[in-house]
Amino acid sequence: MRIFLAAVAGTALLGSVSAAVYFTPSPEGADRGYAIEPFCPKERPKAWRAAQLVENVQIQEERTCWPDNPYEVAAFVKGTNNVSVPTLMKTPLAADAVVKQNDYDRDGDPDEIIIKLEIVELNGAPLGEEGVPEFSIASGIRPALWVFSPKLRLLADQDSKLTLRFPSPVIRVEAGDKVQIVLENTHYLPHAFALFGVDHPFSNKPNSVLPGQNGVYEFAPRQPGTMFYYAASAADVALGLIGMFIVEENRPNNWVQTFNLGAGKVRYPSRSVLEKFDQEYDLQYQTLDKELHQIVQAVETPEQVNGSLRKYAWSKAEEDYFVLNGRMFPYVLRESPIVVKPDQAVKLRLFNAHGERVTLAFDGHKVIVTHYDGLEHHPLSQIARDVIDLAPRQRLDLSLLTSNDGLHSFGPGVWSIAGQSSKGGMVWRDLGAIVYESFLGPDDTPAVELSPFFAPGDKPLLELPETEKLPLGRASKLLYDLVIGLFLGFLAYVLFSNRRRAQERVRGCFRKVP
Amino acid sequence: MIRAGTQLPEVDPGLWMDSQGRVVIGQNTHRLPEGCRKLSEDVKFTVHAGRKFAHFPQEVYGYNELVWRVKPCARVTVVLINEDQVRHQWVIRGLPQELYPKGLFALEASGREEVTGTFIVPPEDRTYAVRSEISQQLSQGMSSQLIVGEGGEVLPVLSSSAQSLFSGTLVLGFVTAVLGAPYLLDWLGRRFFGMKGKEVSGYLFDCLADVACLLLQAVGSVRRLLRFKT
Repeated sequence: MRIFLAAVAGTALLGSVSAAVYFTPSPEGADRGYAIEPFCPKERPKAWRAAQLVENVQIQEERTCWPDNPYEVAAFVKGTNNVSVPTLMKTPLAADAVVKQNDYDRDGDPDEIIIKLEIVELNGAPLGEEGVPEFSIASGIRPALWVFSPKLRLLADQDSKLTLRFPSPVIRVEAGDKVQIVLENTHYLPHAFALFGVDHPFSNKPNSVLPGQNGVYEFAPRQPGTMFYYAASAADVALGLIGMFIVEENRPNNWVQTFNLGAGKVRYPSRSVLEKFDQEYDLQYQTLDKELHQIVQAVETPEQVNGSLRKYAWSKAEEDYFVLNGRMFPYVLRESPIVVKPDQAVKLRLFNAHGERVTLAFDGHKVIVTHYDGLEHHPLSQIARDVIDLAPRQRLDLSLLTSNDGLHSFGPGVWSIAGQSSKGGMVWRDLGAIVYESFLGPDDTPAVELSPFFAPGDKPLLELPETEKLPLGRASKLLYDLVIGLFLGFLAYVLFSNRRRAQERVRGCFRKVP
Repeated sequence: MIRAGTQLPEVDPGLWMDSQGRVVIGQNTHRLPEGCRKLSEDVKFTVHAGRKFAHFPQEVYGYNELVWRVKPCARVTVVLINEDQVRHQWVIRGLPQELYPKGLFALEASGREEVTGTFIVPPEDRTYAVRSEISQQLSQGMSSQLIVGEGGEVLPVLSSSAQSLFSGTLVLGFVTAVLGAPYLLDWLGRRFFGMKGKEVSGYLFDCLADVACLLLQAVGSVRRLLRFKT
């Protein structure tokens, strides 16, 4: 019996140690082992892809596996206060997420825009537990991320897998609008909202918003252009609190799509864009350092997260993941290919949210840089190029022409937009693509052999990875708990087995106390 | 569009929402759950939600109470007062699906708002988890429980702090040590000290008691010294 009990205790001990070290936080689809994911999973209704009229908003088609929700697009164009209840109920948005009202200049569109933002942690701790929103930048890769999000409503959080996502959404307003951004800090750490490049009044007050509080930022941008917004701390930005902020030119009856979730295609371009272009795409390039994102997953309390982020060695940071619109290749081809027809003009807005320079090589096309950092380049200087450089935080507006003239376009196909490393090698992890409609296969998949893009000898990226080991911090916490438990249990046994002598010792001890 | 207080029967008969960001799901004032012949009582709770109600130092959010108690078949009216400037929720799951779509009753109030909803609890003794389903708020302490009658299975997690204090691994280590200590002491005694396990245990106890006694004496001396000086 004693031997049996000893065996049980030993097994329990070994089991807990191995669980502590090798505990797996159930990566996406891990139960399928090494099953290959379909290129186009059925997460989003196919009907969302078609051009359609919702709430009198003519929404352009989006022929990708993962199109935006057209009801959300309509709500962002009209304002959540102006759409019908059935439309709003087909989105996870709060009724006051985007309020549009008061046509001050009587030009047919609202001029007072109230935007409510929340802060959401994706892939936080404990990863894999019910209620923790998850977002894969590629198969099985889920770094902890903080993002701004439009304000959601009750229970929509559970059905908001497509809305709660990385990167922070692109925000659009019209020049001259009175904009009020209300940051409702639903997170557990203080954060602040800041604008860069956007015309806004100077403030010398600290604008940090505590958890549970809100911060109101009011401004009326006069100058149109592609700018950005961010949270005013290096760690916040590196974890994802940065996004494009676009001020559209003022036009009569110009309703703009206030949010473009996940960037990519703008399904309702502004009137000023449609004057010159057939389509518009937002492209946000970003890199992530694996170690930084593991900090958030490894520790448990806000104090620990804050403390660890403060100690993070920025000088030693390395870029591990390269993402375009929040996804690595080949996930990026599921939702951010630039799908074109021949003889189209397409506006591309590029933003480098990296800490380092990005070089992009456009295969099969020469694009024209029309705007630098939101300002229009002199027409004589607008030259055609096929390699584009973006400094950190820089924005470029490009004009992509698909007329097959041997200069602007070499003809229909699936042409890559490849990032180049500083040494000149292709960084295909954030590879984008220009896909002509005639080259879309069944299910709107780019009709091209993808295998050459997989690194020789590497596992294909669409293959699920090996089960991930628990981040060291959490493994240490489990081991710590185990050791404390063992110590307390041992102590309890010693005290219990000598309980009869304890009384006598206590009396003796108190007699000696002076 | 959503106006002040919109009932949404086409979506869900118990769903109500307004333009101020107040939402009620699962409103039920009179339909009795199966097994209830009549209402046992009418109870009204005022629930305060916000940062200042965090119950443990490491948490950020919380409700003013950790536990609410009602009788089976009670009609419960909940007034949720949000004392923060961000939205908060009060959500119960596991109610009968024939009365409550998806088996839930839920309230949400935007910052500084107040919302009221009513539901009737089933006849079974049971403990329901009450929580905010905004993930960061749940993980940061916004959870409690509603005990119907005698309650049911005790919920393992009241808060993240409580969870971290008595984690499963810690309990596992404790039990393992209690069970394994006699064998370990016996082995140690025979292998290294030529003693029985009980004797090793007694020796360790004496060492511990001596250390504790020395500490007590030191504290006593310090107190005496301080008294002498004053």
